[in-house]
Formats: sequence, C-alpha cells, structure tokens
Amino acid sequence: MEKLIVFTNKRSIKNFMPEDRERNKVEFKEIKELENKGVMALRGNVLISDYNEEDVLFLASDMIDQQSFKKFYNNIKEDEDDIYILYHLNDHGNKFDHESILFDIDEKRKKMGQHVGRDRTYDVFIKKISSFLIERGVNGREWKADGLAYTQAQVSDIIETIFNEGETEETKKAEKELLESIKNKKE
Amino acid sequence: MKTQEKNVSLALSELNIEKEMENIEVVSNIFSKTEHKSYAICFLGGRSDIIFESKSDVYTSITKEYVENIVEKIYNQFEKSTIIDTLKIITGGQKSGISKVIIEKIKNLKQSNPLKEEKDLQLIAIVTLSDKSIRIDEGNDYVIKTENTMKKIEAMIDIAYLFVVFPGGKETLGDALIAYNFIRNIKEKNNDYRILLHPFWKNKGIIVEEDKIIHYFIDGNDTNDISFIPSEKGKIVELKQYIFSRIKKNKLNKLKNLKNAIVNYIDNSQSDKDILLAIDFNSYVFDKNINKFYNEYYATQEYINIINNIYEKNNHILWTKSNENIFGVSSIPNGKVMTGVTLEKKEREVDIVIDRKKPNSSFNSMAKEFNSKRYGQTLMFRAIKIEREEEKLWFSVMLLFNYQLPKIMYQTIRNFIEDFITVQSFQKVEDIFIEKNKSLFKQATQSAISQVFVRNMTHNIVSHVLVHLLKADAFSIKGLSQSIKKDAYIPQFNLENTYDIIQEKKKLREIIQKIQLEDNDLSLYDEFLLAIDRKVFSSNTLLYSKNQLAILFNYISNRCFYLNEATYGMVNMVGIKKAYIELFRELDQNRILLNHISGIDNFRYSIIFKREYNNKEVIQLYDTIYNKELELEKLKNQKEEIQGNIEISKDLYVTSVSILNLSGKNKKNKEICKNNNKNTFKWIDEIDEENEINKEVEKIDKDIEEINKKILEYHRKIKENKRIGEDDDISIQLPGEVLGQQAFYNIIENIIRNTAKHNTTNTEDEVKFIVLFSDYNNKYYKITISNSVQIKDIGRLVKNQNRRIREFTIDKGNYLRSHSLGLLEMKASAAFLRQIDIVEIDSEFDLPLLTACEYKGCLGYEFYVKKPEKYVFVFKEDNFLEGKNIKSLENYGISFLKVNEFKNSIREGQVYSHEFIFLQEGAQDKLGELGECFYKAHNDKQTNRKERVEALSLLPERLMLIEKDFSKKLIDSKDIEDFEKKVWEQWEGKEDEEIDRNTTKVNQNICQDTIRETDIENGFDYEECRQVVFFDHLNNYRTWKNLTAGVNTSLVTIEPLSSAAQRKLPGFKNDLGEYVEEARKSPICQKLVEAYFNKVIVIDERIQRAAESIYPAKDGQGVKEAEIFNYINVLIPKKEEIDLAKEHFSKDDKNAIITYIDNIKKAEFLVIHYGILERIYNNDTNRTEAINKQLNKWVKVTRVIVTSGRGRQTLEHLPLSVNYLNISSLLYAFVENRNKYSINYILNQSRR
Repeated sequence: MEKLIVFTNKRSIKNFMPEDRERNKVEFKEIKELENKGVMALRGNVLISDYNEEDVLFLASDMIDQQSFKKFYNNIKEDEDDIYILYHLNDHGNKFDHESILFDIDEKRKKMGQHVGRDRTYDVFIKKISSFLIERGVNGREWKADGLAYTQAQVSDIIETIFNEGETEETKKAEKELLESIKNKKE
Repeated sequence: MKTQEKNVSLALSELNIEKEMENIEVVSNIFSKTEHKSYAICFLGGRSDIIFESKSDVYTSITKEYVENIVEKIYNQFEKSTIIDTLKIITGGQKSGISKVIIEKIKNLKQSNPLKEEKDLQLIAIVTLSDKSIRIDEGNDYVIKTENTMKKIEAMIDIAYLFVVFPGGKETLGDALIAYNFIRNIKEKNNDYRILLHPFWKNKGIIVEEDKIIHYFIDGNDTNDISFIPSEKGKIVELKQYIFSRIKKNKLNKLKNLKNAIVNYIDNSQSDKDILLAIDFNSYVFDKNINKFYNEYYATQEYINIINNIYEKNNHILWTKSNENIFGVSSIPNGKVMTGVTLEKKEREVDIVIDRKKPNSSFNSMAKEFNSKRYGQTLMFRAIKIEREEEKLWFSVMLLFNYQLPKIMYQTIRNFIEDFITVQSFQKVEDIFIEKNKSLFKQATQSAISQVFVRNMTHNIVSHVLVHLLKADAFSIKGLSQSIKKDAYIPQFNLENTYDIIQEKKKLREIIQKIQLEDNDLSLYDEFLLAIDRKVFSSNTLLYSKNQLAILFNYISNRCFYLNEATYGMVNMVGIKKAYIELFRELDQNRILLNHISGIDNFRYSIIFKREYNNKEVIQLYDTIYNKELELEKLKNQKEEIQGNIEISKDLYVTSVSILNLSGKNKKNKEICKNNNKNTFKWIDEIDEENEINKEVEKIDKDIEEINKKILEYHRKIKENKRIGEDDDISIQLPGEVLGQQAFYNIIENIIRNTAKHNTTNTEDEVKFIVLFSDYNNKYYKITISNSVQIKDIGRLVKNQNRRIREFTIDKGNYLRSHSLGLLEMKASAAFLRQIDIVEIDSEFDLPLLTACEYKGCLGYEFYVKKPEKYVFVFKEDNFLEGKNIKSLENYGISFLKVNEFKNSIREGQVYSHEFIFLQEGAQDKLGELGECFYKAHNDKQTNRKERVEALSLLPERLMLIEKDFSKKLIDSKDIEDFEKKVWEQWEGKEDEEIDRNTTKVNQNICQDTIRETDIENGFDYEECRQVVFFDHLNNYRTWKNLTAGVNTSLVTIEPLSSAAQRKLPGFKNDLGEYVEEARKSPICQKLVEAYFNKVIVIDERIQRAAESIYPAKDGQGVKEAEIFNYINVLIPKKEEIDLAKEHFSKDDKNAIITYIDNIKKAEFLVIHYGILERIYNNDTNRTEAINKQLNKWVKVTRVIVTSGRGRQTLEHLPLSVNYLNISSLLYAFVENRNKYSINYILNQSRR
C-alpha cells in the first residue's frame, strides 16, 4: 500500500484551503488537535486521531519529536507499504528538524516542499483533496463535515503528482483541462 | 512681535532718521502717578479792579475777600496735604483784578503762615505778547510768554489741572471757553481736568451745563466743601508729561488731508474744486523686484492730459537728478481761472520707463508747459530724495492752483507740504525698516537656531555618542559590544527575544570570550565575523553590531536632514506614525545612542510611552449608549404598532372569511371581501417586518453590551494611565514623517541630557522618562515628557524654566542668546512638529509651543502634535449634517468646509494634509477646473484622466466626488471603521461580490506565499482579481521563482517584507499570517490594492543604486531589489541601460530618460531627483527655465515629486504645481523599510 504523511501545521496549510461563503478560509476539522496529537489521519475533511489500518493519508505536526514520529511510523508501516513523506522546513516558525526526524527515510520517499504557491507540493496536495471532496459534494462554501477515508487510488494520485516530477507538466495540463471542462459544463 | 518693534527703533536710530523727526517731541513718559507730588491751579477772571465793584445780587458780585478766602482755603489744603508738595498757581499775572488779589494774598499767607520746608508754592504768570496793555506783577515767580491767546491757553492746559474761573469780562469768557473746548477734546482715558465756575457765569447763559469736567460753585460764598487740590483719599492725577507725539504730522499722513489743509487755509468757505486743479503725489522706493512709481492724485482731466503729454516727451520729473531736494513755486502768468472744476482721485503704480534720449522733466519745463496751455494760476512743487547705501526713497508733490496765491501764503502751504512729505517719508522708512527688520530678524533667528542645532548636535550626539566611536578599537567586536550592552539605557523591549536568538547568543558569548583571550588571532576574528553573518541572515537580529551601527548612522543622517529642513522653514508633507510601534520602538532599538546620550557614565534610565485616558472618551461612549437606547425605544414603539396592526389584519382576514362563509357570496359581500382582501395577507408581511425589528433590537442590545465592556475597560485604563502597546497604539501626524520623528526624538534627547546633567539624586536609582500622550482637543495630542526626579521646590523650577523658554532667541545685538540653548532647541523642534516656521518661534500662540510643567512632583515639558487629519467634506449644502454630532465626527479626523471656504483657502495656498477630500456632487462648478479633478472612484480617475491643475499640489490624490445620498450614508456610519469601509469600497471598489448563491467574483485579494486562483468547484472566480502577495522575508530563491514565474503583473503584485516593513502595513499587529486574513477584508484590502497597483516612476540614482542590492534569501541566493520593485509597480530604469549616477548626461542620456518617463502610461507618481534634472539641462543657458518647462509638461499628466537632500529652500523656483519630498522620507520608504504601501503613502502625502 502507498501511504502519505504530510508534515504541516494549522497555520501553514491554511494558505491553500478553500474559502467559505464569507471568503474565510476553511480548515480541516479538528486540526487544532494536530500539534497536540502529533499525527492524525485525514478522512474527508476531518482529522482523526483514532486511525486504523484503513487509513492511508496522515497529517503530521512539524513540532513532533523524533521518538513519537518513529513510534507512529513503525506502527503504520507494514512490510509491503510504501510510505511517502512530504515535509517542509518551517523557516518562519519553529524549525522542523527533518535531519533527525527523517534521517532514515529513503530519499526517494521523502520530499521537501514549501507552503508556497506553485511549489507543486503542499499547494497540489490541498488542490487534490479539495477536488476529491467536491466529488463527494463537500465544498468550501458549505464545508460540512465528511469523514470518509481516502482510497488507495486517491492517495496514489496525490503521491504521483507530488513525487513524480517528470509528469508534472502533464498533470498540470490534465488538471487545466479538467477545470476547463467543469467550467464549460457550469456555463 | 515685541522684538521686531524693538529692532525697528534700533534700526531707525542707527540710520539717523532724527532729521526727519526734527519737529517731533520725543520725550517718553518718565514718571508714574505715584512718583510725582505736584499740582497746578489756574485762575481766570477779570483783569481790572472794576470786577470788585458792588453788584445787585450775590451771583454777579464778587469781593476781594471772597477771592482771598478761596486762596486761603487752597493754601490751607496744600499745607495739610500729604500727597502734594508742589503747588503751582497760574494767573494772568496782572497788576490788577483777580490776579493781583491772588498774588498778594499768597504773598501774605507765605509770610504770616510760612509753609514747611518741603512745600513749594509757585506763582506763574502766563501772558500773551500781543497784549501790550498788560502790566506784569512783580510778585510772580516766573512768566511764560506766548504768541497769542490760543497758545496761552494751550500753555495753561499744559501745566494746570484745575481752572477756577472768577467773574470777568469778554477776555475771561473767551479764555474759559477755549480752555473748556480744549479739555473736552482731550481723548486720554483719564481726563483729570476740572473747571470750577463762579455762579456769575451761570446767569450769563453762555456756559454749558455741568458735566464731568465743569462744575459751578454751589454758592458764591460757600466753598467749604470744595477740594481744590487732590485730598489724601482723592484721586492722584497723572503727571503732565510729553508723550511721543506726531499729532501734527499725522494729520497730514494722507494726500486728502494735505489737500484739505491747504484748501481750508486759503479759504475755508470755498469748496476745493475752485481752489486746486491738481495735487499730484509721486513716490519711489527702491526694490530690486519693483520698478514702479507710486502715484496718487486729485486732479482735473485737463491736468492729467497735460502731464501725460509732458511724460510722453520727457522722462518723469522724479527721475531727474537735479530734482533731489527742491521746492519750486511759480505763478502761471497766462493761466485762466477755471470754473466747474472736478477733481478726480486716483491711486496707481506706474512703470518706470527711462529713455536716455528723451530730455528730463524739470519744474521750469513743467511751469512753461502749463503756461503755454494757459492752465492754472500757481504751480508749486516739492521733491525730496533720501538715498543711503541701498535704500532709495524719492517723493514729490506737485500742486496746481486755480488762484494766484499771494507770497505771504507760500510759507504756510510749504509747511503743510513739508509736513506731508516728512510723514510720508517717515512712514515709508518705517515700512522699509519694518520689512527689512523682519527679514533681518528672520535671518538672525534662523542663524541663531541653526547655531543652536549645530551646537546641540555637537554637544549631544557628537560629544556624547560619536566620541565613543572615534578609535578603531571602538569598532572592534569588543568595543561595539560594550557600547551596545553598556546598560545605561534600560530597554523596555527585548530585541533578543523577538528573534529567538537566545541559543545564538550563547554561542556568540563563547566566541567573544575566545577573541578576548586571543585578540590578535585574525583567523578567529574572521571565523567570528562569519558566524555573525550567518546569524544575521538566519535571524536578522537588530542587536548585531553592524546593524546597530547602521541604526545609529541612519538616525544621525535623518537628524541632519531634519535640522537642514527645520532651519530653512516648515515642511508641507505630513506622515502618520504610530506612537509605540514606530516612535518608541525605532528609538528603543538605537542602543549605542541611548547608552551614551546622557553624557553621564553611571546615569541609568528607561523611557516609557504612556497614554492618558480621560473621561472624555467615556462620556462619548455614554453618549453613544444614550443614542442607541433612543433608537431602541423607537424600534420598540414601532414593534408595538406593528403587533397591533397584525391583530387588526388578522381580524380583517377572519371577518372577510366569515362574511363569505356566513352571508353567501353575493355581489355586495364579494365587494366587501375584495376590499378586505387587499389587506388579507398583510399580517404575514407585518410578521416579517416584526422579525426584522427584532433582529435590529438584538443587534443594538449587543452593541450596547460591547460599549459597556469598553466603558469598564476605559475606567481601568483611566486609573492606570496605561503604557502604550501594540494593541492600543495611537497614531500621530508628523511633519516630514521621519523628519518630525527626529524633532520628537530631539526633545526627548534634550530632556535626558538635562536631567542627567542636573541630577543630584542617587545616581544608582533608575530615572524613568515618561512620555505621556493625552487627548488635548479634536486636533491635538498633548505630549508631556517628564522625569522621575522629585524636586522640592518644583513650582519655582517650573516658573523659571517657563521664563527661560519664553525669552527671545536673539539678544539686543541680534545674536543668539547665551543661555538655555537646550530649551531653545526643544522649542524649535516643538515648532517644527506644529508646522510653524522656526523664525516665528518667539511669537505667542494660543497653544504654546513648549511649556515646562510639574508632573507628579517632577519636572516635565509639554508640547503638542497633531492628530491625523484624514477626511474633509467640501459641501454645497449642509443638510446632510442636520442632527449629526459634528464634534464626534471631527474627533475621527473628519472636517467640514463650505465650498467657498475651500475655494478661498486654495487660493491662499493652504495645504491639505488629509487622505481624502470629498466634494459634494453639484459643487464642482464652484471650483472651476479643480472641480473637474474630483472623481467618483479611483478607476474613474485612471480611465478618464483630466489635465492636472496647479492646485492639486496642495491636495491629496484622492479627490472624491460624492453623491448626496452617499454623503448621508457616510455620515450615518456607526463608527470610524464603518466610515472608512464605505469610503474605500467606493474609491477602490468592493473586494468581492456574490453573483449568485454558488458564485462569488473576487475583485481584490491579499495573500501570503501564494496566488489565489479561480476555484470553480467552490464557486470563487479570481480571473480578474487584483492580488497583493506577501512573503514573510524570503526563504530562498526557489520560493521567489515559484511564485513569480509567468505571473500576470497587471493582476498580481508580489513583495517580500522585512519585519520592520511589515509593521508599516495598515492595521498590522504582529503576525503576517494573521494579518493577511484580516487584510483580505475592506478597508485594508482596498488600501493595499491601491498602493500596490499605483504605478510609480522613480528617477533617482540613490534609489537606483539601492535597487542593485540584493534582498537576502536564506539560501544565500537573494533577489535583486530591482526585481522586487518590478513586481510592485515601482519603475526604475535599469542601471545598465540608463545610469542615473553619471556625472554628465549626454544628449542620448537625456533623451533616454525623457523617453523612459514618457513611455510609461498611467503612472500615478513620478519621483525625480532635482540633481538629475540639473545634469540633464546643464548645457541650457537658462537651466531653471528649461527644468521648469519639462516639469510643467510632466505635471499635467501625473503627480510629480521632486526630491532633494539639499532642503526645500534650495528649490523655491520650482513650479507651484510640483510637489517636494525630502530624500530622507523617500529612502525610509524605498530602501530602509521597503514596502509599496509606505511608498504609496509617502508619495500621496507629498505636497507643494
């Protein structure tokens, strides 16, 4: 199974979140618990701490200590699992000590990104999540809680977009086409 | 001003003008009322003994005994008087009649009852020379001889206070009448004269009724109750002294008076038209800028024609050198007598046209010309030229009479003319010297204050601060570290904690210790520097030694810019600064300065900014609650009414249904139901209405609750006089922005210096300097800066300091005063903060510039700074203000002006520092071309640009035309936030609009680290959205590249901001992420969008150089400032294409610069360094003219701001349409704290 862990924090991730009717940015439900819990699974737009083997998508706090992370990582890692990690340095906040926390992670399975637009990491991650939610009828304007776990296919799609840079342009094009078609349909 | 008056008189005496004042009595009042003990009584009465012959009744007869009796009474009163030691008895002095009796009686009394030694009784005779019949009694002490009766009485009045008039003949009556009329016309406040008349005069029926001056003896013989001299309890009279008098001259201070005097003299029964044909006055006062004669005349048209004819062929008579000091008079032998003469009056200025080829006019040629025209009978001319060094004063009077005047009259008329010319010349000289002295005084004050500035700069900053940086060692790490951490200044804000560098500090300490051990080890030193550099880029600490040096030098350079501007005048541009975030924090970080400025080694102190809360604000809040409760009451009444209506409507509904059900559906019933049907479902609407009211009631209840909370908070603050922090920071308006900031610091520095210098308390105690901001009125904050040193006799100290503050800047010799120069510098800075020219520093203002005061037993100083002035309503009709609380609106910085007042103020060159001026629609016409420059919205302004007019340099760029309804809407805003929201939404447009329930069109957006894109699924359309993107500093080059790649710069601006720059953003608190969320809403969104999308062209080599520097990123690969400028609509020519720092510009360079500017369309501002203009037009013969021509061209399309470091005074020849900004303000916004908001703000605030 492919699983994805995304290191972030409440404030940084908010940058890319959809907007509600008043144009306030929405947040994943229960994200305020992330720093405290260390790691939470993302189901729909809800973060839960009681994750299980079904969960393939996780948000991790960039404040987590090495030991707690290691414990969590080993807990979800099955032999056949490919666990991908997206992290950032958090230069303006408490720096994320990726050198010690992620020192034993295979370079191919970890990627440093930034919470900056067009970085094609965190921005793409949220965009993907947002589109999956829309498919389920959950949009930012209403932002009703939806707790359905992401599928392997959905997470693989995200991983593919973020980690496989070769396909970036293609994906970008596809995305654009998709958006266009939705727009046309709407009109 | 007192000083000016003083200097005028000095200048006059220096130039020996006494000659012009020959006839003027100039004896000043020397003695006060209490300093003299003299009194004089004048007796008038019959000169012959016949007066004592017996008459039929007591009222007409007088005996010698009666007179003697009165004299004796006076003698006795004088003898007993404790306040009068010298008594002067004035009589006609004759050897007969009343005088004789008085003289004899006094002689007898002196012998029989000698006076005490200190008492002196004088007998004075005043007589006329013309009266040969008078035999003067030898008993008089002395005799004053006068020319005629008038002068005799004048002389008597000059000496006496009391006139006692005994019976007499016609002469006595004449004397008494003249005396009475003289006295009555004396207009002094305290007219102490009295006239006592014998009842003899009453029966003659010729003397007026009793009044303040005149009294009759009650009974011819009963004089017991009369006080002839002031009694002990009585009123002491003013001493007769000469006063500075030019009465006679002043009478002829106008040409009209001269004309009337001459006419009256010649024949006061004639009207002037028959006597004079012309009285023609010319004067010329040399002035480099004025080449005109002043001409004033009363003349016939014929005279004017003749004189014009003369001046066509000849040069002006005043110009003729031989006419330097002449008086000419000549009969016009062939002149005819004119009838029906009408004199025309005219005052004008005549150009001096000198044609060397033409003959000069002379009196002779004039007389001949009039003779040839047979016009006039007598010509009289007087010319006088006063020339001394630079001053030239020329005057002439020409008179043409319709009479042939006898020679005997010439002298008197000449005297009139002399008087007139003397007065004229004196007045002109006075005017010139007042002007000259004003200018001298201005220069002297300017130089004096300039000396104070230099002296204090040397004394404070150089001697106390820079002196510690004179040796190379001082710049070593150890040296700087000592300066920075000296611990004399106890900071209120911990710079280290802000940047979380505690760990770094530990490492640094270790390195510093190592260096101290091995001072000469260069490799270690380099290692240290590297460590520091790394630290700088990672944490940007302000305590880093190089940063501290930069802060200090920046402070000093801004101080120099301030001193330069302040010396030469006041600045028109103002900026808003926050008291805590900017004023305090930017001072607090200057540790090298603060640690040394006191000049005393062990003087420890802190600076605390506080805010005084007062009941005024609470009262305002209570007012608001009261208004809200009224609203509530109204709503509740409405609700009750509606509830009643609902019941009625429901009844009607039920009735109509019943009618139909019970009475059958016949035609009549149907008709009733039809009528009722109209109201059938009214109750449903009414329920909706009730719900709306309920909502409003709920809202008001909530508002009241919030206000109550605020009131509680205020009560707490009133008790505490709380320290200002980021949350309750206040904004103040500072002239010249950073310049005003320096003026403020200058006052603080002086107070620290003075306290340290005079501090005798325990030096180990920390002295606290409190900078207290209190609400003074709608316009001003009062600033009180005090120390915490308790003074025993504080009242006396305050009084003395205030006396010193009030003393003149310059002394009698026009030199700088020798004392209290620190106070003087503070006063000059306080004047600068009030936008008052420092040369006016000695004037008195309603609101004093600087005063010493007591603050909790310690010494403090008070001065005033303006509250921000933000909005002006210019209205045609003020009905939209009816019932509004104007005062509370003014408290928000909103002022109101009638369109005509506004127009007049613009004509007078008044500068408006406000952010917006609103013009009521319909009032544009009243403003002419300027009215066209008001727009409904910013977009309207950009798309329908009109040619700019000169007056715009006095005004903000945001000139908004508002419809009547919108003005009402604005005024009805619930608070200032609501007001600003409405204003900015109107000006810049709404940030978003919900098109339907599922779609929102976003017009403006503020974000951090990302560009928001259209999100169809969530229903947000960003296709045409203008976005401002911020970076919190810059992580790495990739961050920048990611976001800027392929971005549409017409819709997106991107700027990385330093921490200091972030603090300059409107409404910024302490976190960029949180700020951005707030800033996405109006009005901050609109403010930022306007600022970031306004195009600014900058032609300045210093900013171009700064644009070449790299903005650091954490990976070491930073971004060129020029690239950043490019993304925030600041357009600066690339150095490789146009190098603005070149010493000389070629023709190609000139063309390139001009083309660069001309090619940029729709730029809101053009900033250009005057030095560049000078280099561009260096080869032009008239460089200034060429520069102005070019500026005038640019200024028609954009706001042109000329900048210079030389100060505004060097740019006085700039066209009025051009604005000026000191380079320091520009560098502050463009380089030191680069952010487009500040750039736009400062450029908007620039004024003429």
